[in-house]
Amino acid sequence: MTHVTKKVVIVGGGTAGWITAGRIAAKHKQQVEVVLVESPNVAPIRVGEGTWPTMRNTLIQLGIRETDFIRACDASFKQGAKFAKWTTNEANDFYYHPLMLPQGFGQGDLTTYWHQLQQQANCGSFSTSVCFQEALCEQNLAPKTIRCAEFSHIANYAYHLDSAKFSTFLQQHCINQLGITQIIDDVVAVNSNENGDIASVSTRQNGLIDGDLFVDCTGFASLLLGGHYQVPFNDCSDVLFIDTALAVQVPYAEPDADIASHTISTGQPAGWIWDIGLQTRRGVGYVYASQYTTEQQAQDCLAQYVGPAVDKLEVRKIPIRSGHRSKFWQNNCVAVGLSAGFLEPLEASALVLVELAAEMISEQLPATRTVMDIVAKRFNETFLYRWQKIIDFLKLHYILSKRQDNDFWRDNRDPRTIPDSLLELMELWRYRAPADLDFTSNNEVFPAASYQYVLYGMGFKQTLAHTQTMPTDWSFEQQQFTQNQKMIAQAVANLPSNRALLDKIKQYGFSHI
Amino acid sequence: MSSLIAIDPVNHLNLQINPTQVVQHSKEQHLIPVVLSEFEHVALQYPLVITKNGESGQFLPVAMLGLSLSENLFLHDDQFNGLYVPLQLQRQPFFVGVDDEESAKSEQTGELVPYTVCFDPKSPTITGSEGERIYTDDGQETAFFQEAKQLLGQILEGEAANEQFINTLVELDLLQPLSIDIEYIDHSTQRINGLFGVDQAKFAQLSGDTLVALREQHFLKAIYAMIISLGHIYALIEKKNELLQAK
Repeated sequence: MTHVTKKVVIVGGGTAGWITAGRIAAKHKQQVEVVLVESPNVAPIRVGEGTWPTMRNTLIQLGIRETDFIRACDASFKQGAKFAKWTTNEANDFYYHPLMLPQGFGQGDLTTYWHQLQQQANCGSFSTSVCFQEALCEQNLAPKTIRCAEFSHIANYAYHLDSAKFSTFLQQHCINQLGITQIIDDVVAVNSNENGDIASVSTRQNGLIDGDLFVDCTGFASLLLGGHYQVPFNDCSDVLFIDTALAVQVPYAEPDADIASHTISTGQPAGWIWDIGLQTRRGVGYVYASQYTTEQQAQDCLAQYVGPAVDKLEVRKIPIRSGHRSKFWQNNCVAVGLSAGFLEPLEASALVLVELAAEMISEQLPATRTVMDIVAKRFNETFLYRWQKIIDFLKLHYILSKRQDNDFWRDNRDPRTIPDSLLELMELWRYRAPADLDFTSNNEVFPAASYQYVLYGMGFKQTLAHTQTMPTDWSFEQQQFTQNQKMIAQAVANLPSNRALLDKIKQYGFSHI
Repeated sequence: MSSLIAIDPVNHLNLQINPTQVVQHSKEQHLIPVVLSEFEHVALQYPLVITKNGESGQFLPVAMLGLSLSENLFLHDDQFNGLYVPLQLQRQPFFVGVDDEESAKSEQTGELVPYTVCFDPKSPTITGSEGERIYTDDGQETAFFQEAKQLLGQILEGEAANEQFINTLVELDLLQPLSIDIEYIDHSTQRINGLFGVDQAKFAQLSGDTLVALREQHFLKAIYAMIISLGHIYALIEKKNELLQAK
């Protein structure tokens, strides 16, 4: 008998739960009932405050207006990340991973040209030479003007947001606009069918809630996938050492203080500090490996970064277990968000994985139970690949450091802690730049350009002597570098500050065209 | 715009305005803001489009007098060759201002803020001893000044009507970005962005009820004025080509 997918039950609220529920309802609400069960007693973790540019499409798909989102979620614009003190720990040690591809990327050989310029004279950093976005970030400028339509850009952008406000905003939208049923109750038992599928979950007040597909958004608890199905957890702490976060919310010193338009990530003895500027406050946190520092030392580092204001602020300690489930979809249960895994906050990979999972579940929602196993298999393959690639890319940030102040950095460089897949790529890149063909899956999370920004930002040197295709004519590359300088001048002259644009959005809003 | 001065009969008893010079205010302006009540006049000769206000990003109806920044194809040797002078020019050098003191007072009393008429002292309409007086010798407003004040009222009302009109277009999703590619007689090319017009396909699909509602709000003829006026872009291109050929 063909069992048709008619009802999806999301267990757990938070951003993961509501994004997944919303994406499914937005696409299938005529055919599929979406119910979300949320515990009144479990507080979400709420540290995911940085997004990728993908969030713009997620909001569009959910039918959300950008102006409403920015006003409700204390959101601001993010144009990439600035990594300070990751390489040498000196005062002038920083590089950018912007959100735009290098000028003329994929045509010509910009990286070799840049390496040559580096040898001859003192040209700018890789990211300033090939991308105009760093200049905007350094001056806290917005990625667009109030005349731009919502979600459109002059410089590509993502968001910084207040995770708690975002979760509430999504919840309201999902209930009021997308017709999702919210049940506030605790799930106390999981009930199986004969074939091992989840038939229903038992709740404390609302009895049994049955469904055809169950989405586990229960956070680190991983109630369904980890708890009920006992799907093993792949620990990654041998590669990514960070296991603790100390988070704090820092008010601005002045109400009109500049709002950084990028995540600032500053290297520390046993990890790094994130610094995320929202409209009304900053979110700051030290993520560290407890094996290499004490909590008191970590507190001191955080206090030194934040300054005297820290004395009046509440510091929250959040344990991190770096890793992911060995599969994400078992029977009729799929995990999204922290229940699937978490690595560390670097490069804001948590929310984007939620978006990607919600998108694939919604786009490929199995029509019947028969095809669900095929979808599950493909989902697991896709996401195991994605997690592996993210692990490689995060690790890349640590292996090129020259810091000597703590074993944290030395051990990170130890080849025994580096995945073979990354070691292989590093070997290839000794002779040529990362290229799109190095990443051939349809499911790539980070493009080759991202690897270039990190590699050359951290001073990795390509061996030009063995470059096989050294052009004799650099006119195309010269053109791109000149064009980039023009774009920097133009953008800096025409874009308002991040704060000024956010104020205008509050006053006028964006139009939809 | 330079700073404005509030007008009073004591300080400005002898002020004279030369209305023939108002068009000089269109120098180096390719887009002139217009209000709903003048759409029909504007549409006779100029493309009537919508742009976004640079400060607020809000939609703003404008008459196109040129094809690129600072270009007014209707002004030659200080002579304006347009049939109709938009209110935004006719009103020069007068503006409506709000007196700070009065405004503070009304905040306490809750009464409406009285408007104050101001003028732009740098306006080319102020040529000294030529033109129209705004006050008689005994300090009474002249008919000229009273007409000017009426015109300011028309603009104020028009701006409110504009807002309703634009909101309606947005609600009905009738606006679409215009992208205009031009090749001139000297083979130079130009792409004009940042302008919006009526989406004719969507307009054609509106229900009878909606059309009746639009007619009752006097928006229907405004929409037709916008659609038909777009053809004047060809006239602008021709004017520009003539200039290029004359070079």
